Amino acid sequence: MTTSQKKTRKANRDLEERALLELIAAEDRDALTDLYSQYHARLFKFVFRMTRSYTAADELVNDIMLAVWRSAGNFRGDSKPSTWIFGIAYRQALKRLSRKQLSIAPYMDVDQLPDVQSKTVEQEDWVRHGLDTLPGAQRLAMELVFFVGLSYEEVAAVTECPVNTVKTRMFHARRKMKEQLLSSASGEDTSGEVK
Amino acid sequence: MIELQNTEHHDAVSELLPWYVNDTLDEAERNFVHGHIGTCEDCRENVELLSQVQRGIRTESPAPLVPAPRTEALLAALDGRGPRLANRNRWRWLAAASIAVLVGVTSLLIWPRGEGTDSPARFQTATSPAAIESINYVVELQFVDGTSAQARAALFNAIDAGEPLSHVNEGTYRVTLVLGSLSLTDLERHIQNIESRPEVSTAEIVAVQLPVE
Repeated sequence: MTTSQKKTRKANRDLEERALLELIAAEDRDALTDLYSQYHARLFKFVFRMTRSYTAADELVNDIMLAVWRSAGNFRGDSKPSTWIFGIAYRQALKRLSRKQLSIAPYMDVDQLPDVQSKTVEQEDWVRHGLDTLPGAQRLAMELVFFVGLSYEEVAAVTECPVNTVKTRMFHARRKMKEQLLSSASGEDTSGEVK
Repeated sequence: MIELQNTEHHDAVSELLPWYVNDTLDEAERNFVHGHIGTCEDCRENVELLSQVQRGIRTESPAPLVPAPRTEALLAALDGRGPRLANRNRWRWLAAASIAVLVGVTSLLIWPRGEGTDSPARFQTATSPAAIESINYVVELQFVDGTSAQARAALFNAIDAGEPLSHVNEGTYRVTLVLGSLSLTDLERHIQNIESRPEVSTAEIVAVQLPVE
């Protein structure tokens, strides 16, 4: 498929999704079901990456679609429907991450535990481990850029932040990922901090 | 002055690198970045790093199966009826039983013989990250009649089961799943997802394996 064909296809999809959102704003359940089936897998994968929990991700996807149902009337069409929907997903995931951070704080006394296997895993999968060490907002920015594939303007719209803030978050996230790569290569563990 | 301009130029490019890598810059920005990285080793290294991150993020699939959309639950929630899953209790019970077996077996393995103390330390090994990540579940899969060998192999591959542990009888296989630190609810959901596949009739945890040194 050529670049122009891809652009045409995206534009058509945008138009179709805008029409669905208008119908949803008019409380059309079939339109919600259509949009749900189109977005379910993408949203599930996105939020699962944040929560690492089937239950939480499953609940979150339905929470996101409920929020779409309730606020479709507020969609003004300034952004793409996908940007608007991922904006809702971002805020829901961030809320969930904040709750998770509170609950995992006491669980970090891992130094006394046998750790040979987990260290091997760290070295093999430094990207995942590096992402896990990022603060919530930086990690979500990385996911929005590299998993969802958003431009910086779209990330700014989704996160409701100035573009410069988005760039700064990505800069700090990149620096931490670099540190993670270096420590992984040298076999050290620098992730002892509580997130 | 020239050095200052170069630094500003470098900083401006450096900020755009994530979007150079995910290919969402407009043409002018892309050319601007492309021209700079040809002469800047630091930016080339960062492009390589970010490309690795992108590959890692896009290829990593921590969710072995994306569950089917729960349209009914969503529509029920619109009506304020709240989502409920069929068979939930059955799976909760099974998962709880599995964990109970796991904790029991582990306690036997690591309990200091003849000492009979109530020290909570004996539970620490069972719940340590290394032990939890090494838990295997033996799952018995009953396939729908007429499922082809190819479809069975595709399912084993999709659920990361590898080769079946054993062939119990016609259409029934036991496979080993390494699921690591799933909560009871997630374990239940995972097995439900496998059972919801059209080629699977039933999926049940029949044993839990722990590595013993």
